[in-house]
Amino acid sequence: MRFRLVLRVLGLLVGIVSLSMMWPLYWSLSDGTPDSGAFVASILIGVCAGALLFALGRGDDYQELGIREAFAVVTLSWVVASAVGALPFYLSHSVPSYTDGFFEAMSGFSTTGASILTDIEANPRGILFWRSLTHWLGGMGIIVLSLAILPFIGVGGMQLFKAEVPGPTPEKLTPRVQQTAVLLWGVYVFLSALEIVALCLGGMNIFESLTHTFGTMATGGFSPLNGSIGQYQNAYFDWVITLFMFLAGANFTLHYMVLKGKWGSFWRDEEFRFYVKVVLFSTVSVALALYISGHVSSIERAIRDGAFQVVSIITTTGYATANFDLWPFYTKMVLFLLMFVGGCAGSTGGGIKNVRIMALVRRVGMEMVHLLHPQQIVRIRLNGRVLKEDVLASMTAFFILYTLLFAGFSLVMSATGLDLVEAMSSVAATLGNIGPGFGQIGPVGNYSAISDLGKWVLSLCMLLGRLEIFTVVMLFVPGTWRQ
Amino acid sequence: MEGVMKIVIVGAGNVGYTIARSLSQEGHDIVVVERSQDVAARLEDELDVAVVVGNGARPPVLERAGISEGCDVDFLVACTDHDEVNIMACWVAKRCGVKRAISRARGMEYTDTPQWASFLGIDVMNSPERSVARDIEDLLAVNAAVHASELFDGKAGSYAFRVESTSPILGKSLIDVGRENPGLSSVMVYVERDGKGIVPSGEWVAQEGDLCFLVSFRDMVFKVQELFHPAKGRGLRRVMIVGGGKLGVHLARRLVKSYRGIEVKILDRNREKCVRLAEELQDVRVLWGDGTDEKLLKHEGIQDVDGFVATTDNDELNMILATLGSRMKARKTVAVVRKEVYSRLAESLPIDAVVNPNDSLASVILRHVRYPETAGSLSLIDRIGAEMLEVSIPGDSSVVGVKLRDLNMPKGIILAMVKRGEAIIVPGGELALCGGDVVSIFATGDLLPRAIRILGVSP
Repeated sequence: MRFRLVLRVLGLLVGIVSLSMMWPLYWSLSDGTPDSGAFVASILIGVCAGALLFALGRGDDYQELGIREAFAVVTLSWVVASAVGALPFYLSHSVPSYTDGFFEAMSGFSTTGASILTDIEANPRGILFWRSLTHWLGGMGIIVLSLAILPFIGVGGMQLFKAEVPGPTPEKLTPRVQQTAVLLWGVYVFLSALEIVALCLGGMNIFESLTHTFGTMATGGFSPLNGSIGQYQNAYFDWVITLFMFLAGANFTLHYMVLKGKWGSFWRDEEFRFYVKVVLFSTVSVALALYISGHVSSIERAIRDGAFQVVSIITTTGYATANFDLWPFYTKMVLFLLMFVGGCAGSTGGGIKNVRIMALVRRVGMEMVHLLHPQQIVRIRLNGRVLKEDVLASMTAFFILYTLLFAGFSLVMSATGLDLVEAMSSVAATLGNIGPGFGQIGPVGNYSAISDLGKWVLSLCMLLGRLEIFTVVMLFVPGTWRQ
Repeated sequence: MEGVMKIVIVGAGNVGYTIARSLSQEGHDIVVVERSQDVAARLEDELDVAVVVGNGARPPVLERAGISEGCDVDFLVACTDHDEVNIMACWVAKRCGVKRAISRARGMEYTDTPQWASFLGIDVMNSPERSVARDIEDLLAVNAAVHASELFDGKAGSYAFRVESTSPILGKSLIDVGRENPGLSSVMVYVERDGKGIVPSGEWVAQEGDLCFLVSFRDMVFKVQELFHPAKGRGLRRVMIVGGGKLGVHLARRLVKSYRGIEVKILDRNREKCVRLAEELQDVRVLWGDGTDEKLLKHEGIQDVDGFVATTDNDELNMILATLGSRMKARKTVAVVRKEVYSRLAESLPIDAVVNPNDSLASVILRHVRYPETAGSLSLIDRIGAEMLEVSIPGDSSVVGVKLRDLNMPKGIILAMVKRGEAIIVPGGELALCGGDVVSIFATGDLLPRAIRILGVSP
């Protein structure tokens, strides 16, 4: 492990995160609210800390960034980014303790959207904007962002890219990883701009358009309003946000292809087709259940609420237009299961990812074929290409680890005093980067009542979920630290 | 023989040997380039050809075979097992001014589109597996046929059926058959009876055991089959292929592509190969195991398959496999047999059909050497010593406008089908040929060159 190299990259990252606080600072200065002091202080602390780390890390060559360093850099930079990102919340006294600030920042960067704020609208706009901006930075990834804007990380860049981008086999769009990072961020910014325009056209003000777009495109879920999107009671906003959440949950490589004019890319992609089918099936079944049980009066409302909530949960966004905690048990079960499905590989969504679920289902089918034809050699295909055994094995391992972590952390959460539904849904919602769960942490509740230990545990869940477990877990494997 | 040609053949495997023998017997000057010392020695003993030992891809070796700047070699035929060697040899030959270069292509990617041959500067590239797979597919579909080869890009074909004790055609003359089935346009070109060949006239009466060669439209052939085997018509639903070589794989691909919902199983005993096949082939069941494992065959339902094809590299094994397949009630068994000796031998075994990929390649090459001016395909029907060739009638030919009955074609030559524009006609005596017609000629013995002369196709 080349510690100096790790420190240097971390220093750069802390610098980037701190400097990005200029944007919320602008809102707080223009409003003249007292949180501007907190932002100035945070920027200063962050830049100094970054410079210090950078200075400590002089000497090593970027070219030597290996797989070990990549694990360390990526995991630690998310931790450090959250640590720095927590400062404005803490210094402005928006949150009662640093633990809460860190939870809120980690929830933001990991695009979870779980909040400890009880009265969101009581906070100044600068703080609310920073909350949403952490989503947007974390959505496409702070490492991918730094790869895009820092030209000198060359060879090791691919290791960083792989360690951060979700999905079993991240691919480069172009021969150079930096260019890929630029393109991905370009697509991300473009789609975000589209959504901002769409929301503004519907009459939303620019501040709320921006923050809601950040929450949508990053599949985060922070809203500057206490009632989330449901506060508007506006069908146009509901559908626009549903659409963009859906797009954010799809593979950005496909968006890039489509923007390049290859329209068939969406439909040729098996994972996308699977994603569409899951969304359609869930929407229809939830809408029917809502309508039949009499929870909503009109069929239009049933479809709109059903679609919004299904897309919001499967893409791991976590916005709400209705208090789904009061919905029929069946619909809650559908939503709970969708928390595990998550978005597509290469999207900003979390969860297990559609592609892994597909591959594992096929793996099960392969087992059945094998029982019937013991001598048959079966291979699993995805998009016409054969899935390599090692990729399949790592998918299986991921699935097992995800399930084990879910079980283990649920146990821990229930030990901190949560009931069965809350313990399980809190872990499912943070490990999958969704946000709201059921019960007191449901769409109208928040995470403030959870104990400090619980908050740290859930913060870890968010980090594990965002970096797809292995990147984080590798840091706890002794071999990673040896040379 | 008019015009002795100088021909260099690179590679003296089965194909090279067959070609060298045929062409040398026709009186051409043959030089064979062969890498193996032993094979070369045997070749020199058995055939009247010159042999150069060495790697055919090396210019100095080719130079010893007579290929150098400005040489007067007419043909280079490259038929080693290695595409790289074949392509290199052809390339060197063309640079040195050899008139035509023909290459075998084992990698079928080269012959997927004709443009590769021209990119590489080679006149003809041929993968025998392609046409053989097509013939096997035809044999499986027209399941009473013991021989099948295509004409006019698959729109028609030549087929052979055997007359059995239950055949409706038994005891009938061709005139009877024509009267009873007025819509049936098909030409019987040749009949093998007791080991002797007959060109049947209208009075010919079918006897049990006759092997009838006929030319028919692809969509008409099932009706023709009814005359021989009324109960055999059924769609192709399950096929088992033993041997995951190029031919087996290509056949599996073709079958999956042309028959919806077909279940194709391919068996190979090499595990690595099976893994590779499983990765390459979609919608095909790849089984790892021995084709002679009766338990495995039974477990995989050999008794229900419509076709059982043995395509391993080993002729003897293929014959045994096909026999086993027949014993285990596979509906039709096909064996791939490359050695000529075995083709005859296979007839005394319960094997439904035998195909020979080397024949197929040899016939393509021989067609280009013997009839370079004609466009269509040549089929060698070796067992009866007959040839079938598609030729295009030039506009200035003396036969244009003359009725077929006035052409005075010698007995043994049959103009089986005529392709005019997009239409394919079974010609009667009253038909007059036009310029641009493509005629498929069936000829026994060495009558084909004569037929070509009569039709005015310039030599």
